[in-house]
Amino acid sequence: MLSPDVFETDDDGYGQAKFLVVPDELIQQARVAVINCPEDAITLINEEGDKE
Amino acid sequence: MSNETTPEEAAPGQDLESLRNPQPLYKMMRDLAPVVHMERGNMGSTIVAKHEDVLTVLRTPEIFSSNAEAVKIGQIRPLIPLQIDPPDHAKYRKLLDPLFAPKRIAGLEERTRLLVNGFIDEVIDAKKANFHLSVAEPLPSMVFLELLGLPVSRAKEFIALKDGIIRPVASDEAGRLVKVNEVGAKIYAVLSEVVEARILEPKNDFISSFLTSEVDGERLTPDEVIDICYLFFLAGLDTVTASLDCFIAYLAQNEDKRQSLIARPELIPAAIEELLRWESPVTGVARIAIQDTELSGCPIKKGTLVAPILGSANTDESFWERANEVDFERETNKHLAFGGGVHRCLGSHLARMELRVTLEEWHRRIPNYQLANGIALRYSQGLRQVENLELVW
Repeated sequence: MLSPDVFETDDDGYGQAKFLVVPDELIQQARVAVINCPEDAITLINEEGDKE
Repeated sequence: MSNETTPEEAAPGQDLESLRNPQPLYKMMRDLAPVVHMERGNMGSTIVAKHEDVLTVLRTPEIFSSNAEAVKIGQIRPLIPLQIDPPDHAKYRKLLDPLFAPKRIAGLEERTRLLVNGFIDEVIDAKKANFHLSVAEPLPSMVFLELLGLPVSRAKEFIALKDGIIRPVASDEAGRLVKVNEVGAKIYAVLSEVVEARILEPKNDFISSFLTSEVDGERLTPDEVIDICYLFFLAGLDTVTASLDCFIAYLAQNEDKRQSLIARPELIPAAIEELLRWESPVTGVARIAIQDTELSGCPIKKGTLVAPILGSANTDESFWERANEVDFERETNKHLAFGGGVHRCLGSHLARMELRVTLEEWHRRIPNYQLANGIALRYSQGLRQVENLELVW
């Protein structure tokens, strides 16, 4: 897994974000997931509510 | 082989060099005719080459259907889940995804490692082997037989049935359909027999799991279980074989890349993703336009067979940075080698595990190998297997 501190997989194999708010020290890891998701299904939203 | 043409009279893209290194041909398609209709005999299809258009086809199932008309491989009912369109498709994926989830697949890794080492034991002292015949073909077949709980003693019979569908001996499309329907009937007979046996006496295998799995309180019928196994049988074997062939052929010819994996085995997972992108062992998939539509301004009529070329999307320089460079440390790698959209490969985690374990064990035990002297590799069309992958070490 590319971003193991940000995501986990449930027993059915589906990815789940571990947090609603990504801690500062994991932002970089979350960005790696966003740019690598083959289905473009991951979005990171900043404090103003805009997509990064 | 269905392709009985000699190299001299091969159709565009089917000459030996384009089969070996298809990337320049893909580029030519994108530059000259990114969406083009081709008629071959009584079969016509619209070839889609640009990343953007390939993604549109894969992600718009309401226009580009994956129904049973798109691929005819001897089935009498739609294969599950590939040939079921949304919304019913989700029901099957909800049931099947957990069985192919990374955690479930991890449980198969130790056994797979043992199988791979068994194949290596057979050849290591000879200092030469046909990799395709010794490892790439038997491994996925054995994994499949064990997963489904079929007797391994029937491996040869199953490989022959699979080849009868994938590579029927026929000179045209009508002849091919007759052949695959004959072989298909035999596959249905074997699968029915096993499903009946598991209904009477469940075992710890996939077929028994399928039979007792429920979605929204509904169990799969025996026919549905057969339709899943039929697809698994045809989709899960040759694809892994082709990937292994392409990867080892690449690494045998690219010394620096192979050395990087030997020095840093932790690069292997990323190397697999990059080689899936670059080699695209499954060159394309098939869809049917179920309404009149257009792609990049080209009209596509309802009923047209549409072929998105995954290998071309995976090397499209308008999407990829350094598209023609093989880099095992790429920061992003959203390749489409497993397709995309709702029908994205169900078995990708199983495939990745088989590929990783094989590359790890092979390079641990036989790190330095090369192509046998004078071998001109022959890649098959569509699914890029290399039957004459003769190695020495």
